[in-house]
Amino acid sequence: MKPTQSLDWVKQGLDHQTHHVDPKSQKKLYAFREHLFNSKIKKKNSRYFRWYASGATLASLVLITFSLTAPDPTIFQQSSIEDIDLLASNNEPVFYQDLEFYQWLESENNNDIHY
Amino acid sequence: MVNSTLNQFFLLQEKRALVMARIALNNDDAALDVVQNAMLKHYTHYADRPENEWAKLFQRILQNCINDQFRKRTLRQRFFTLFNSKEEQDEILESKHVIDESQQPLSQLNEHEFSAHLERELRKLTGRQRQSFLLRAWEGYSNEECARLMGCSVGSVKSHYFRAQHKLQQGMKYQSKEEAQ
Repeated sequence: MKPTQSLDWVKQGLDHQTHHVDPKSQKKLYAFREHLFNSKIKKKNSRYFRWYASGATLASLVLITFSLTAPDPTIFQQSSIEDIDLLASNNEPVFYQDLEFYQWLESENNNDIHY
Repeated sequence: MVNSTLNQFFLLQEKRALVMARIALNNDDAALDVVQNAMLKHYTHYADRPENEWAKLFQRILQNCINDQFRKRTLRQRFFTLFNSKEEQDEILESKHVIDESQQPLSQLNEHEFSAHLERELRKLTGRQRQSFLLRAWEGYSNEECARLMGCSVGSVKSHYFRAQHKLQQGMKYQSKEEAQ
């Protein structure tokens, strides 16, 4: 057998070894395959499954914590609308200082009309 | 159904894988462990992948297992050589020398001896050179496929393959010269 440029001799040599693997090794490989397919070794559906599961758990925990600790949105809306009204109006600051008085006066006037 | 197909696939691949691992590791038991480990990993992680991907996946797993085994063994050898006596180290060197002297002219070798000689020549290559050479010349993968399987660039595969081919042909030429004398 002589080496040639096409390297067929490599294939021939290695194929020869493949066809002449010792019976002891063949037997061991056969036994291993039998064990692999007949035993209940679990197949893993995805190698990243563990990461997906832990990520989802963490995200749900964050969501629950946030929903429990977040302030009441209605209170926030009311106060913010009042603040915006104050800022946008052209009234003098004195007007706001007497606002309580004006409100009382209005209620008194309404009572007088009723009587 | 998948199990029987996979069983057939392993049946086709296991002997080639064993030869490849044995050449790389130069140890029958270690090679057998590596092949079994690769089969187990393929079964547990990739059995549900399409069948046309199996060969490449198995080859990739096998190469990684061989590399891991090789690294472990190198580390162990380094550790133990610190404690080996000088006589033991000389014995190891002598045993290597005996293997080199057993070479004969190629024309006198029968098929079995030729393949054994080829195995010796392949063992003289570096790990990467041997990997690229076996994957290309024996398994028939392209440079791009080899690069994917080995986890390196195409240029690196070409370079390793070229050097491996050159070294092997030099080794065989050396035998042919001996034969002429």
